[in-house]
Amino acid sequence: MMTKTNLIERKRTMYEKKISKAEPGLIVIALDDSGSMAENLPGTTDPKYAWVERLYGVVLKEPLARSTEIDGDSAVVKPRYYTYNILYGSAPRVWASGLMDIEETVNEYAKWGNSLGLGGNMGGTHTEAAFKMGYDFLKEGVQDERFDKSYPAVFFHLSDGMAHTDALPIAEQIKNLQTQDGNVLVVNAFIGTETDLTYNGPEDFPGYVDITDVGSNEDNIRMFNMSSVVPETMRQNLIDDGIFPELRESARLFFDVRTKEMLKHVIQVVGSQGSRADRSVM
Amino acid sequence: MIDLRTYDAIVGVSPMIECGEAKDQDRAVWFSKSQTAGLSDGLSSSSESRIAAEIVTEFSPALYVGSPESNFRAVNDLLIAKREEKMARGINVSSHLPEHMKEMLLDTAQQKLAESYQTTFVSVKLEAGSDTVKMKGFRCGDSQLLVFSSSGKFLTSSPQISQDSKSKHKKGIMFRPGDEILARVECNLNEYSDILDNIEIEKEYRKNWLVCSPVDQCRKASSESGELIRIGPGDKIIVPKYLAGGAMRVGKNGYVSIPFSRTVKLIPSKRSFRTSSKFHSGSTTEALPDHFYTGQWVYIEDEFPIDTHFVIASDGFTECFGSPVEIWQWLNRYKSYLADTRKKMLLLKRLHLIRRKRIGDDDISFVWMFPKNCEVCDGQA
Repeated sequence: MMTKTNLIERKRTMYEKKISKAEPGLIVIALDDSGSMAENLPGTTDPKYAWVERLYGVVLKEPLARSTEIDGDSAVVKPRYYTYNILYGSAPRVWASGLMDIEETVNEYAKWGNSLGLGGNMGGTHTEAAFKMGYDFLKEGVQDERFDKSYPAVFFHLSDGMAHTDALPIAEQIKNLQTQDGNVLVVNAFIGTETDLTYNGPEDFPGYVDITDVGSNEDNIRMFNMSSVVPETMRQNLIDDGIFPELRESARLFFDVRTKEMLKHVIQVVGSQGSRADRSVM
Repeated sequence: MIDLRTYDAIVGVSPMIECGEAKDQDRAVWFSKSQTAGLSDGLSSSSESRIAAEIVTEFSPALYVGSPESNFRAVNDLLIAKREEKMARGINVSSHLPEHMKEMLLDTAQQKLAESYQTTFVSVKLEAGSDTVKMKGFRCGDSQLLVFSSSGKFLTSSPQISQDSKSKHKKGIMFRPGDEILARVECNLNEYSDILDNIEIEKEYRKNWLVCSPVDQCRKASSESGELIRIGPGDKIIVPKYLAGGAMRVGKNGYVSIPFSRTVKLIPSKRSFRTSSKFHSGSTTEALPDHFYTGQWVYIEDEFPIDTHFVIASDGFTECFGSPVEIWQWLNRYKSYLADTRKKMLLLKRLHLIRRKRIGDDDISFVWMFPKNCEVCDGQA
């Protein structure tokens, strides 16, 4: 039974684990492939799904780099990250063979010409079903001996909104799942929405701390509430990596994607999982 | 009576255990004859960092012969030379992989090589007199130097230990239209031979540009709109001389006030000046050799009472404790164990278990230097 002392100790030391082969990172990615994703990304001449396909490689880049070692004259990829990808529209489906280590994921993506097979072809936007699929997987995943001691899993959701179903209750269930290092983190990236927050781009994006920042749009409010609060280790990674250098403490992992530059940076949040080398101990 | 000539030391090095991967990238050494200690923590994200750690620690005594800065430059030049050699040899990937996968892997591997041979480093040299001990030292990265009185009072450290974690991540300077910043002139651009593969200034005109290190903002525009140049800690900028007050009045190491202009170009500090690297590793640890060339290292000289104790340690060791005082208490509580090789390794194994349970395991290393013939020396190995 968790005593009060244990709880205090646990709270103090959450979200501190480094990613390693013994304690790998788990990333669940849920991508909206509904009909509206075939519309152009604002400010560009390409559809939203094409940008997601293009930038999925950016998602993989950081975990791949952190998993690759040079052994003599050869590059070796170690299984320090695993992905589970869900594509959804009116219904969700699992991409490729489900749970894959980072090398398998890159291999699969590369095999199909750096593509996930997106096309804005999956009809409506049944967000709740996608989250339910993610929850069912994570419920088992966080208890798997590979991940139960790891830095908490990240559930990354990308959509252009207009959800036909309310995923908030299931998102709360996902946020209550936990590894020994903390609760699963839910990230929501909302393409094309507008909020009350003033910023120019990733370089000065301050993050959404208060619900009033997101404005009165119901989809914004729902996605804000569906999102976890950024842990300090992750926030420092995002700052140090130059992804969101001005991100405020206690910001939610909710991002409005107004430009392709913002999309590129938001999608890299996935790679900020795990504690890094330098932390002041005293 | 304390031997006027010498300090002694206990060295502890223990590789990460049971994490599914071998690490063993910490190196620590004490050179009794020259009274010099060196400790390096190879970056786990950097290939060949183990070799880098070995090179730099073994070089420690030579650092203090003649010009320390020149010697420090020499060892960093060696790390760069080894890196360039490794890059020139290239990397193999499996021929069975799909073409796109091979491209991604080669690209990643090349970027990895561009950041190979990275290590933190801390070193001290002690010159004991009758009443005082002079200390000289180098430090780059998150390995630490801690200084204690003989009674265990924490005197000082490098880096300075701050309770404010925010101070560790210094914010950059926001440079917008209407702003002015104060910067230190480093040199003319044509004198900065290590730069910069993608600089779009033809060589014949580079004498009209300056390389500057921004210091602070000296005027801020009333509006926060407009394009922004975000200057991070350690970043440099390239500035046309006319913007900095004219070529004749500006000299090296002088300070100039620079108004915002779109002509100002940013040189981010995380780039190695020796190799073109577009990859942003995300590493938050300063490390040799790259951060030597960006000036993110310190050389320390100080003087302390003769009975002062010095500890250099990797973050793998310091993160096992809550404060410098706890480190002192641990060292003294187990001083007789640390003097025995087998018992020392058992103690370090226990630290690994604490680390693994709390934050994940890491290599552990330290060097504890103390005046010879003080009570801690009894029975020392």
